[in-house]
Amino acid sequence: MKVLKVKNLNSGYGKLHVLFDINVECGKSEIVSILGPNGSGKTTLLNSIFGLADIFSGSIFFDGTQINGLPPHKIARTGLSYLPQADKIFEDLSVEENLKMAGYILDSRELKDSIDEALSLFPVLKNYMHRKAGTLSGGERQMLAIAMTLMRRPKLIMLDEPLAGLAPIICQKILEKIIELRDKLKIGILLVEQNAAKALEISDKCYVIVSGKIVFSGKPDQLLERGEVAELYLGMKSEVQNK
Amino acid sequence: MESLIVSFIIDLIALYSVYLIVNLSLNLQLGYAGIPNFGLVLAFTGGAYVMGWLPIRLCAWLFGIDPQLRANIIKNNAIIVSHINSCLQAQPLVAIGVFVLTLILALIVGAILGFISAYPAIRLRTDYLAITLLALGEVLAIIGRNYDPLVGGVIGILVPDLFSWAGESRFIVVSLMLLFMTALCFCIINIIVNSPYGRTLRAIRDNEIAASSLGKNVTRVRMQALVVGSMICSLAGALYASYSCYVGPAAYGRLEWTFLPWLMVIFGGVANNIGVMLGTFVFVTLRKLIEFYKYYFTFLPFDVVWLEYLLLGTIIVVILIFRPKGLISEKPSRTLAEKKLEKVVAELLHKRDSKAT
Amino acid sequence: MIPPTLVDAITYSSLLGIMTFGLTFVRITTGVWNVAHGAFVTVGAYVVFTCTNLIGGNPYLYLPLAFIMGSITSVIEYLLIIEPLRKREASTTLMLVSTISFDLAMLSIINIYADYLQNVFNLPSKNFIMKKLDFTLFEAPGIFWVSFMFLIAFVIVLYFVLHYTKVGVALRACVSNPALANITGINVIYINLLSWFISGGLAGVAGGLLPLWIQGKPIVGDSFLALMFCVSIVGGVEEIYGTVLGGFLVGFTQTLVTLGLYAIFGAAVIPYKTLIPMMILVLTLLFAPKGLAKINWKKMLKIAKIGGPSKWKV
Repeated sequence: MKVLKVKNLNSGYGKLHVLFDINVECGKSEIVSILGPNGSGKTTLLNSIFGLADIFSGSIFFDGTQINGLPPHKIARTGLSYLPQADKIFEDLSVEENLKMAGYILDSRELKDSIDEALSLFPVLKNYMHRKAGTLSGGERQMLAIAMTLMRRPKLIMLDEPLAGLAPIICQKILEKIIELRDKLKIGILLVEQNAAKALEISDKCYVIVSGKIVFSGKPDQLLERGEVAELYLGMKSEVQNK
Repeated sequence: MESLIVSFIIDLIALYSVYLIVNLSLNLQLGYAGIPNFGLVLAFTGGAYVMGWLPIRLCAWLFGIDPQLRANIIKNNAIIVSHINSCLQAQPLVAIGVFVLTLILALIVGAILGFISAYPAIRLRTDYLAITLLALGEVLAIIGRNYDPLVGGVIGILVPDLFSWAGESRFIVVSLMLLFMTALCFCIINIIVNSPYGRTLRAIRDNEIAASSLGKNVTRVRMQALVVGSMICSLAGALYASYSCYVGPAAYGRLEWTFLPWLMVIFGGVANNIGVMLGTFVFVTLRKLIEFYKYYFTFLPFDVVWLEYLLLGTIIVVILIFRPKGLISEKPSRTLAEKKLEKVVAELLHKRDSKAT
Repeated sequence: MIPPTLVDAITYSSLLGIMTFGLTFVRITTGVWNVAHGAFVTVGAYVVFTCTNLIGGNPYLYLPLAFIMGSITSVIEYLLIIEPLRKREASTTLMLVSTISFDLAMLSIINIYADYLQNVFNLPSKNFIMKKLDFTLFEAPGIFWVSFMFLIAFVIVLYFVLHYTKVGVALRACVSNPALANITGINVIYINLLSWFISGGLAGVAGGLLPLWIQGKPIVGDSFLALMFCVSIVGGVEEIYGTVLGGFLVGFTQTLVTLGLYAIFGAAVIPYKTLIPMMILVLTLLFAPKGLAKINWKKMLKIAKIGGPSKWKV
């Protein structure tokens, strides 16, 4: 049973139609990546799921309930979490306050448990609990942001370009964490990423969106066999061609 | 009854003209240059004060009014003005000369006021600029209220009737003159707006960064727009004072001469001068009608003008929510005629092709 | 006991601070300069005036009611006008104009109400002052003690709320990153409503105190608008407490400069005292556009030693 089902989605912003008949699915303990060139509508897909874009037609089901049409703060309570591309932490608040806000809808005991769990996954944050979040480095911020998405014990998290602007070593750490989330916490992960190669390394399934339409859906190795798709849209040299 | 209607219409034309000039000025600044000037009242008051300060002194000097009276112009302004008026009746050329001179001074004063009030704030973000202009708009009123020698403090001062030579048809002549000035302003503003400079204004309004990357000095152009706008507003103030033959700080409030013009421009349609004409007409007519029929409303335990303002406020809110572009929206920029454009493009392509080969 | 000039300056500064706080607050949380803020002040003044005259008793008793009426008016403005426009992503200028329209409507309603009071109850509702109903403590008028204590108490309570309560931290989160706040499950509309509620209430309290000090009129709140903008910008709009600083700077400067000028030029200077805040505003915009609260004091000392102001970027 797939936790997230997006059916025949047409969405955009105001009069701008960005996505055309999109069908995407993601289950628990699964890493699904959404790939494609700049401006193809990847972020719009995540925004649509979370009620931040205008849905013209189609439906979105999360954990059996229909969520299209709900306001974002209500969707946050269904067990779905979103890590946006930019502005992903509260810079003026301390790290501890950030975590508390991420767990806004939890009661105090749940909150304490969640924070302990988050800190065990990202121990580096323990040293910064009272520091203003804006003073953290890029990698640390990303860890905080991911920790924040986990606060509400989500069944599925959506990450929008989590590797953007990070040093390669840090990227590796983040990728390892994402795998850990899938395996240890059994969370479903919908990953939007520009860095197609890295994303495909860890994905169980992938979709390629170009100009608002899906041009490929399937397993990563199937994508790499379809050399032209990989090369044209993702800038990846086809392994098949090289052989 | 007839004369009542005639005077109503003459009054309406006069008020409409003055408001239209103010609104065109605002439209130039707001609609075309993207500058939210909430301090229109400053320039307007400035122009009015010029009309209250210069003519009486100039005419008193020209006509050799008793120096003893002239020693205290403010206190004796009633007597002095009535003397001047009788002199002016016989000398229309002098009257017109003084009038034109005063208008020119009003333009200069308007420019100065515009420059001073804008300078500290011009680099700020739009809304900071807006409220700074609003705050500074009060300055002249404060000075005018308290510095008696300027325009007679709170009581105000009479203005010589520079159209007394028209005798019986004085009011008609003034109204026609106002209409003429309005038409003049309208033409000048339209020329500015449809010129390459107007396109620069709009470019800056729509995307400052892009415009400055193309080499346009954004700050300087904005200042220019503000200064020109203030000059026009000041002109309106001077004209209004010459019509009512009276100047006093209490007569030029933020409500009447900043907020209402804003509402009229938004109602009519920002960045569209025809829309502004329409919007102004609707508002001014409504206002005059309510004034006219005021006596029918005496059964209300309050002044009916507040009901009018309540209505205005509500209408504008409704418009902002449902049709924020106003009655009539902006027309696209006028560029070269299509045939000319085709010629230019063909030439460019020809040049490119000949270079390639 | 306390020199009367100091009493005057502190009272004035405190009233300015209480009055203006809400203006800056809603600017920080919702990004709107509420031109109708003066209307909340006037509402408070008329609540206290009406109750004192029709029910009787001490004017201070009715301050809580002034708070409530101010906050109700503010919430109405938010729900009726601000939120619908935000949904339509209106520009800041349009929002400003909408607040002006609301101000106009409120001005009308207040005037109609004042006319009604005057005609039906024979009250001097267009021009009143209740100074003589004030008490005196240690030779200083009650309003001095109440306004100053209220301001201090409020700042302390606010700090506590903003840092130690869930709602308070959520409010700071909304200010820091409203889009993210939405995503984490905070109902941003409720939080905004809260900030407007507090803002209107505070203005109402300031308005309720005003007639104990100056003339009350239908435009009393609006007449402070330009001054409030000065205080807000001078104090700095990015820090929540900047307004309190701004209020004290403007209040003290205006009082002291007026006194000084009076000593040199005599009574003719007094009516111009309202120009002083404008000059402070202009100076602030030229040399410290982000306001007092954001001045880097270490840098200032450095510049003072080297000489000449540097260019402050906005």
